[in-house]
Amino acid sequence: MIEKARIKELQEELSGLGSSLEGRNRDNPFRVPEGYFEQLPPAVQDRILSGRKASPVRAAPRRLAVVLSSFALLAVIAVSLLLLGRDSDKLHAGEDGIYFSLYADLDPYFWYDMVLETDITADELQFGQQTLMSDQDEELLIDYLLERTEAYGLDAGGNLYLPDGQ
Amino acid sequence: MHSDEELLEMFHAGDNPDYAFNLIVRKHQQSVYWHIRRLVISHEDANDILQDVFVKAWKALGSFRGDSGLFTWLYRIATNEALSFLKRKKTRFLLPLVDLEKQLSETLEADVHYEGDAIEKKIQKAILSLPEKQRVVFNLRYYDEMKYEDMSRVLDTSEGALKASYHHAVRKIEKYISGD
Repeated sequence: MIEKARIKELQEELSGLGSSLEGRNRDNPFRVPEGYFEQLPPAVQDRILSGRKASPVRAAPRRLAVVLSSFALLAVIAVSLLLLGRDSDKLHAGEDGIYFSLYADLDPYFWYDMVLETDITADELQFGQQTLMSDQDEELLIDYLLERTEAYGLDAGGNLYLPDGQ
Repeated sequence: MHSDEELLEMFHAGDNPDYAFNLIVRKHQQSVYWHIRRLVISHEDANDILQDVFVKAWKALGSFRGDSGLFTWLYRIATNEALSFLKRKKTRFLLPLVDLEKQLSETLEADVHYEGDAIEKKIQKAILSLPEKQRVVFNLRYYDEMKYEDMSRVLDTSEGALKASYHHAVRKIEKYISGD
């Protein structure tokens, strides 16, 4: 009886708004895998007993974060080296030293923190960990980064070159 | 079926809190799940969040006094967890480079656990186009048929503001469906 009264109230509200949603079937279009609600209580019990923490965001976005942050780090270094190379004749020896010590002293994880607002720990960012990145992903990442470094003035051997003979 | 008050009493009595909590999970799992699912769309994500909700509820239930009602308390945790999940997802995908609404629509399109017809799918996409909190209000009212009084406790917002938010949401959905 209470349910019927509530539905009537809801329909009247939609009707008052002149909404076509009033006459629509409000059945739930989503489904769950078979037996899901029977399996959930023991799964929750298991989580409580083991203190295990399911990760709501899975590895795929983490991989993306790693790829993007790696690219950003490499791009910043490559562009900086290129600019330094172009302007080297304008710089005094002392200024050169300051620039290089700046880059040399920075911890790579500083860049990750700059690029991403994330709770990925430094250990998780170590490439090659199977839990974080598969071999196939790693190959794709390496190909992608090599391609980008070439675009920014570094060849595959890590040597600096200036496009168009500059 | 036990009332929420009975279940809380059973839990706090301490004879068998595991059993009492299990009954709480069984009683509320479906309504809380569907609420989360409508927000995050993917079953796998909804499952992860739902488990987190119950684990958090388990940890906090000892200090829960029952003033707001178990049902609204669980909805409150679930709403916060689902919205936090969406926020984390935005951050990790470095949005606005990737559009979350588009991503959720694509998840809906690819969802093997979705059986709505074309019109229902259009309504779901219209709902996804709403701002997140308006989406919560619309879902709680339209699908969960929740009273504004209860919704006010879940979202810690005045009933008047919730009514206004729902009415805005309905108009936006109408506009989306009619293609304006």
